[in-house]
Amino acid sequence: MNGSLTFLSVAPEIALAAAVVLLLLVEVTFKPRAWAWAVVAGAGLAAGTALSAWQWVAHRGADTGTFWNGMIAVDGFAALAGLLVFPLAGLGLMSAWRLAASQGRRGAEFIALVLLAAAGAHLMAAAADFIMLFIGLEVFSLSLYVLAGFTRERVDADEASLKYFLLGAFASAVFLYGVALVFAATGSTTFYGDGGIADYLAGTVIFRPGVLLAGLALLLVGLAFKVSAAPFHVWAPDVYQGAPGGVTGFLAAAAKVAGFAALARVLTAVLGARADDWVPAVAVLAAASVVVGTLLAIVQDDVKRLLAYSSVAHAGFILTALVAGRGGVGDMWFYLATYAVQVLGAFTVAAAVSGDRAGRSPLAHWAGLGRRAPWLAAAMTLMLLAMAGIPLTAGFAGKVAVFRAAIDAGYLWLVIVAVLATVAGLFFYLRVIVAMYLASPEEGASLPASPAVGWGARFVLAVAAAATLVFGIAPWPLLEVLRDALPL
Amino acid sequence: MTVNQFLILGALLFSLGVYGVLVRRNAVAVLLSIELMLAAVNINLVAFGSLLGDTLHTGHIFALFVITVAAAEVGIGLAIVILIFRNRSSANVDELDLMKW
Amino acid sequence: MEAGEVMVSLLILLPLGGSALLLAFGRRLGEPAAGVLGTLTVGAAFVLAAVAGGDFLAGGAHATHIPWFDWLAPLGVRAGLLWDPLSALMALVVTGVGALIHLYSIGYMKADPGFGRFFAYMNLFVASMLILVLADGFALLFVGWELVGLCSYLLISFWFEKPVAAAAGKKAFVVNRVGDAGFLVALMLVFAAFGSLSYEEVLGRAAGELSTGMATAITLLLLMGAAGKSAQFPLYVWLPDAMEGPTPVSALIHAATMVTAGVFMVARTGVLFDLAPVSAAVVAAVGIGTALYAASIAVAQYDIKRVLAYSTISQLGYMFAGVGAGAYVAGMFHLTTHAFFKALLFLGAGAVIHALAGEQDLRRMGGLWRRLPVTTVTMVVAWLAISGIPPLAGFWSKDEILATLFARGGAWRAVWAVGLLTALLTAFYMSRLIFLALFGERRWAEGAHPHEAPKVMTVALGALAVLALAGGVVNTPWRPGLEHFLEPAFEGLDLAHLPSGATQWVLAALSVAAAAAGILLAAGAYLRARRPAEEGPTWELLRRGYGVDEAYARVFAAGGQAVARFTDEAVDQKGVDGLVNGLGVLVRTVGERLRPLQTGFVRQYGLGIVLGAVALLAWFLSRGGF
Repeated sequence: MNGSLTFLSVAPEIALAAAVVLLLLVEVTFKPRAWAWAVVAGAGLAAGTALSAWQWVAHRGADTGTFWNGMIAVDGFAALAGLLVFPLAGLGLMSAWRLAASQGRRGAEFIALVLLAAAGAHLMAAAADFIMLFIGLEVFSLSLYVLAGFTRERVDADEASLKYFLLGAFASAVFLYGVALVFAATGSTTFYGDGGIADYLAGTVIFRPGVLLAGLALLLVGLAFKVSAAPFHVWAPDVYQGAPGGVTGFLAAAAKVAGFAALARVLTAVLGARADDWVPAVAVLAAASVVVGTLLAIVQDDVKRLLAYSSVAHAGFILTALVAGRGGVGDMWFYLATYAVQVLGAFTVAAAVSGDRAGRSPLAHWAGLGRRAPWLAAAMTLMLLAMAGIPLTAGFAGKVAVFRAAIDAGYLWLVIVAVLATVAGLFFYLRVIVAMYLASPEEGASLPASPAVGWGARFVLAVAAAATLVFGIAPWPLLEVLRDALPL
Repeated sequence: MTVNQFLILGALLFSLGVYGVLVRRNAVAVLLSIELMLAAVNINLVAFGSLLGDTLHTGHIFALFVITVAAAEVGIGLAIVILIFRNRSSANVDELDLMKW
Repeated sequence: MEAGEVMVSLLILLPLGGSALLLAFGRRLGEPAAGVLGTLTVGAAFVLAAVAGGDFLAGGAHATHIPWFDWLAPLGVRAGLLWDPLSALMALVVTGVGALIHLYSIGYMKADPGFGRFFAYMNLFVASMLILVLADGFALLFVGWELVGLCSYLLISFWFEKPVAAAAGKKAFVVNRVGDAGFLVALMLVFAAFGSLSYEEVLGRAAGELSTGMATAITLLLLMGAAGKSAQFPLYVWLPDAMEGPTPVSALIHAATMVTAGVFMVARTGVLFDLAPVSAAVVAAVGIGTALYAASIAVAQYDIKRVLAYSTISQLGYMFAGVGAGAYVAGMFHLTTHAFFKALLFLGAGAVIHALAGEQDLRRMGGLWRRLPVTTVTMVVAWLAISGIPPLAGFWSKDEILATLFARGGAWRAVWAVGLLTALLTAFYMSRLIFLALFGERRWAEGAHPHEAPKVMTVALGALAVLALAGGVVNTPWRPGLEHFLEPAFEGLDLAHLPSGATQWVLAALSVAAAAAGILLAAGAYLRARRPAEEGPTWELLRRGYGVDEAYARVFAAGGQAVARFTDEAVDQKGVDGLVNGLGVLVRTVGERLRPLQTGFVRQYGLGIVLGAVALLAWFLSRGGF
């Protein structure tokens, strides 16, 4: 199987790429109405989801199969990433639909970029070679750099875009240097198969592992940057705050999913033999992330920035699952999937409250939202409670799952730090809830009487709320299923 | 010539790039510094590829990919820099501090 | 599922469903339909609890586990209920007192714009409390624990237009979180030690597997959570402020049910406290210390609800002292009777406030007994009950705690002595409240027209008065019904026992004497001193007369008040409040200090990434060098 060139293995990427090409061609040729974009994008995403579902059914729980000379992996892990990323891109598009439609003819580019980002994210999860991982990473990141600055005339968004780009490119270069060092130490960039990195590390005693270890460290820097784990999180608050409201949700959700998918495969499947080296480092990154994210979120006065720091803390919680190595990957997926939906929902509300082109969303905009828009406020409250880890929401189940994984791995101190951060974290989630329900809008503040919510955004919020409650009350079926989503 | 010399050259070039990212104020110069880092990666990849005598030439091919992607990256990067320049008449990254704390 | 299991499950689902209905249609239902619906669901839950609990009364019934669903099963987290005498008792108290308070609220909340919302929250609260007490493991207990805190927050800041109310709600939430932090860490340790969170596993295996050190750590952290929820030193500061909520909320949450969660939890996890004598002693010390401390503060309060709030803290201290000493039955007994008379006191205070159109200051009350006969009668019953006058309910339960403390001997005798002193203080401040509010001369504003509360309110008062009057019969030394009832729940525990024979009588006499002394002192200080018109040689003689009055008045009324005011102002507001606020400020300050690191400059972000990378490189290279 190793050398086989079947196109089915990369079918999800092909479907998405075809949709992008078709979309742009149709746009240039016919200049259609916006609904035509939706049809093409929807078809592409549906095809991608269906193909991932097929891969899931066919390959879940089985050994990883590699294709194209060990470039592409087909397994439950990759299929699950598709099942998560493509619907997420669909929801992201619905959430940002008004923004896209308001951009005139550039709306098609917007949609094309989201689809490309989704394809790149899936490629990151399905890569079986550092070359593929790098290409996926770049396709994904380059799309997001542009999306972050999509509202060209706003200086906030431009700044977000440039900061994201410069720091992202910098981190990519560091990542690549790490890959080059790992290549030097192991003689391969392929993950699996005879002579692959996993095989080499498992079968060889390395007497002077300096080059390999330095490579590991730099690899970790690059991927930790993507998931915004402290101390590589600095870009996230500025980018989340500056990016247009409609984009931030997808940006935040997709970056986490893609980054952690790559991180999980590289750490557990490829570098599993060096777990003793990277587990303590990941534990420290996790602790730093929950502490820094929580402390800095407490002092924020802008909801989008607050959510950005909270996402740093969540990166820490998800890393907590990874200290358990392969045993924690299922828990990581659970947390990742539920959090991605929550963060998309929360930013969708933020876009409705402060406008989907606007960057900032100061707390003053949220005052009295409970009366102005009760459903929006209720949805936001649910998302915030879930992120805070209140029982009977998916956030709580996720926290229990990742904490359990870390305890089993013997990292009780990390769990205690994370628990204390969880408790302290309630303060800032509560601040937003208090503003929505207990504060009145300031005199003379010009706020829309009831924030504008499109049908797409409503659908996103309904899905997010349903998922948060269902997986909060009965998380087990999903957790059971996710056991098969291991990289082998 | 041993592989160590290439390694040292790569490391020096990489450090130079990092230094450039940290000290240059012009966004284009920062971009150039990142390119320098990628060049260092390429030197490493090609040097190791030759040293290992890999019949698949993984290192060389990887370098080609890096060059291609770097070109795309520069394309997008320059576009963003031009956007910033149009809005602010400056490409100084130290003036980009609307969002902080 | 058998009929009994269905009944117990319905117990939670009834008020939960009621809450959902009220949230959705509360406004459309209007008054009084929303209140009636709320009352009926809780009342029906009480009937179910009584029927299902009847088995235990008959004896021979075993604790039943009612599995609900596999929540996080392979993580050792199942959602299920445990129906044993302990949870049955708690369920009865919660639904019984809860139903009466719901009934009372129909009158009290009349014409409030948030009528429907109020009952929705109240129902949700009852459901949450039932989840807490019926849980069969720490995980579901924690769910209830959090929901109860959330409801408390919603209800304290119910009138959120008032900034004080909103601030009080936040304070309650924040202080509770501090306790919860300890509680959560305790749960982590439990999980780390047993790999499970179900009571059956943990409590069943604890005796054989848990080291004393681990047990002490777990129980001390549990105590931290209990102290937060049950308003014990030093985490009690939220309770007095919580009085900003509507009075029925104070009665239900901050007297009868939520605050008892801590006591209940200690009783439930008694096995762990048994393994950690140090923690048990700390529980008792915290309890008795809080009891005395809060009672001394209550003496100096002028706000009628704040007196009751400090009184609640003090009484909860008794319960902690009881369960800490191993007198689990006595602690739970006092919890039950306290729920009756404290709910009654709050509702009575509510009727007084209601009558005076919102006045809460004792100095502007007085002489209300003529206008509020029903309220007065019921309040008097509650007053005598809390003071510990036989044969009212409070006497039996408080005396049982005190007697058990005495019987354990050794250092526990000191605890007993403090408890006795507190009993005296309790009688004193409660009498002061009653005398100032209901008796003596009228001091309320001209133009106020105090009127008796409507029927729905007085009916609830009457029912609670009966319970406060006769509730003690469930567990007298001659017929220890409750002890037999609870026996299966505390099987195998190192229980403290009542002293036998004459000792018991002497101790009871001492308690009664302390209570009587407190009442008499208060009568001297307030009933008469506030009536300067009473002239004449006899009055003169009495006033300075034996000199005792004045001395006591000076020592207790003046000296005691000075001490009380000092503790209130210096220790309470600066010390403990400072500590709690300080924690928040500390976290914020650290956050503020970190904030400037995020300069907004790309190059400095780059430097941050490089430094992080260097740190990681250093770690990895330290693992094996070149």
